[in-house]
Amino acid sequence: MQYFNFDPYSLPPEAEELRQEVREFLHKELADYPAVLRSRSWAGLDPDFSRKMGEKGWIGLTWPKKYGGGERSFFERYALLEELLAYGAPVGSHWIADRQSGPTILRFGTEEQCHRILPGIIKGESFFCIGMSEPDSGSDLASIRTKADKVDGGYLINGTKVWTTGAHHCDWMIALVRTSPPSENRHAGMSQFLINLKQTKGLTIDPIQNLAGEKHFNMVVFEDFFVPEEDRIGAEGDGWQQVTAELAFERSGPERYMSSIQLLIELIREAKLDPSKKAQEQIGRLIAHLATLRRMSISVAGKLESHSNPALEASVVKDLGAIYEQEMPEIAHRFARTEASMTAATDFEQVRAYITQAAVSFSLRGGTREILRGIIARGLGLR
Amino acid sequence: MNELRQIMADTVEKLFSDQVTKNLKEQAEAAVFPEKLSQAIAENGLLHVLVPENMGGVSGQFADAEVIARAVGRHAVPLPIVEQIIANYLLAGAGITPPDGITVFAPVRENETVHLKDGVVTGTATRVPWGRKADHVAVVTEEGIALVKAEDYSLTENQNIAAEPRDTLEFKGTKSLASGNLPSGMTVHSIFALGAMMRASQMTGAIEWILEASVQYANDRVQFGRPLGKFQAIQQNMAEMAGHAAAAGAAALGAFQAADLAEEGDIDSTFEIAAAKTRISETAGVVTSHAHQIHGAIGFTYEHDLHFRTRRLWSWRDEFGSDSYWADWIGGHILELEADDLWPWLTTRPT
Repeated sequence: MQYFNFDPYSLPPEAEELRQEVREFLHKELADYPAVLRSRSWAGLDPDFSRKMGEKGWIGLTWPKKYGGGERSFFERYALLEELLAYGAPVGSHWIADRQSGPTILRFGTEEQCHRILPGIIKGESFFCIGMSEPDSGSDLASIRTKADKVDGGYLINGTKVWTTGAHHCDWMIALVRTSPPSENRHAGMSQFLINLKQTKGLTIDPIQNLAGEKHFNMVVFEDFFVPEEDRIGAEGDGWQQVTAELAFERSGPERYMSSIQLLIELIREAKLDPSKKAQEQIGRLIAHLATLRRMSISVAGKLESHSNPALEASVVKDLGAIYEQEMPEIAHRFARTEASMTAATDFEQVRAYITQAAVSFSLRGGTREILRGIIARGLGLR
Repeated sequence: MNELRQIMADTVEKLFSDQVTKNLKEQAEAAVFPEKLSQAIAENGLLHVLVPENMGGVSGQFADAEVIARAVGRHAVPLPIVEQIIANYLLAGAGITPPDGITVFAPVRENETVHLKDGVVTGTATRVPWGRKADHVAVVTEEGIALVKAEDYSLTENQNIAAEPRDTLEFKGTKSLASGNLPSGMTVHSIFALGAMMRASQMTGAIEWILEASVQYANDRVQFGRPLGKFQAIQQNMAEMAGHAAAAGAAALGAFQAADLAEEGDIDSTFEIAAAKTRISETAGVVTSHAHQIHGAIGFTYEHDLHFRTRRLWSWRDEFGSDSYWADWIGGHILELEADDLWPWLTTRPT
């Protein structure tokens, strides 16, 4: 009995060609970009960089040409993302729009929404955040309370969203809210809306500082916030089904095992200065895992390319990937001869200081370890 | 999966499902050799999968052999199947037609050297799988491959944790029946790596069986009024095990595909083999631990089928280079690169 399908795929020549092009671009653009900033990976924000990506045609790479997309394959997109992550490029401004908001609009939105929204994303000018979690609804997403009440020409939204990464920099949020009161079917009665964050009436966005001192995520409060009818995505009540598909996009990319790669690179640099058998073996183990995760992640890209549902396999890779990413600072700590600090003299200790702090979030964001394992257990037929 | 591979998969699955019973495995551990099964496997041509057609083989690829190796692990087949596949491949590569009967290969350990000079073999090979059952041995030396007859060397019996024969062979000036070159592009070390590659796939097969048995048990066994599988603590462990099983499958397949590319002369596949053996050997401990935890006391009995796989995993993770050995090998290679070249290098590897 086969529970999962991780068929092997080779990236096609056009993906490898694009990879070289991206590599040359990044080499030039990020020549002086410090290691500690690279280690922020896709949390690094730089709207100018995103606009340059847009000019290159590297946002919405797989989307239809009629909206300005590249109509290229998921394998090409995969190679592009790998290079961006490997270089630690500051892709945070447009990352969510490219990864999940755009695809959600493409899949469930109207033609009018696609024409209105997607071109801005593709140009690297329109940024998105995710309105899912609430103060009382984290892993139990179906328990959300933010609601949309029907009024003339649209809806009035009331409630609070939290941990919305980038809300204070973004133009839009896609929010999951209740359009009917809770019923016996926990997954019924929810809908997704485009929230125009530039429309300030009834909207408060307060940044929340994380333990590393960064202000990435926010609390977003809606008080009689008006959303026009034409900004609902999909049919009323289809929100849960849509958000499940969106989460599959959120979990399926190479960022789910590459978050700590800058630390691996610095660890190798460090080990070359002070070689030891112990470090050599440990690095070998990390590379064996890295190569295996990469194969599995490419297989997920293959599923996207062949239009089969990647949700289960993506959960497996994200669970294994997060463990791997979180192990990295622990291993680096065992080999460190000096103290980690953001103001340390070496790249190794700066990167180690950053990743040590950031890593705890890797098995929380995009679905906790426990939720992912619940999905996997369902795939095994245990639930 | 191509047609040949599918036929192979169906053949071995049918054969092993029918014949590799618990009784047969128990008997094998009590030194009763499964003669009939051994012959059936030979008659099906499985042992000649890597031998060219003009030498009586199938002209298959390594990825075809993978299907067999995985089934050997899945069913815990107590026979030298992958060892014969490699031996026959080596002989054919040396231009020697594989003889009838059982042929294994030696040495199987990285630090052992056996020499071949003027057709005469000298040296000691320890822990040779199924040495005592071999009619012939394909001896691997830096000078080439030599075929020797069982009566022409001395043998001391030994075994691994799973009671599989792992014997010491002493060649004291043994005259070979025939000799030839190492397969083109191969070294003594890359042949050792082939052994590691087979073990990686066998371990994957064993892990897949263990996962299925554990899920089955979790669904069947009722405690506190519900199946064990309904408890979240159990679900978490099963999910973790499933992740490792999936990683093992991906890593093992990667190694065999790389070996096929190497055979075509495109790459050196040692890295993919090393990564697979490291990744899977490392995981064996987690998988066996979770499997025995879910099975409880019944899984700790000799009566239960579980130990035929778990004891093999504990043996196989050490054989043909442990995870420590291969991780060290990978690390040595990586540390020769500049740190910033890690990623560009990795992306040149086949997936």
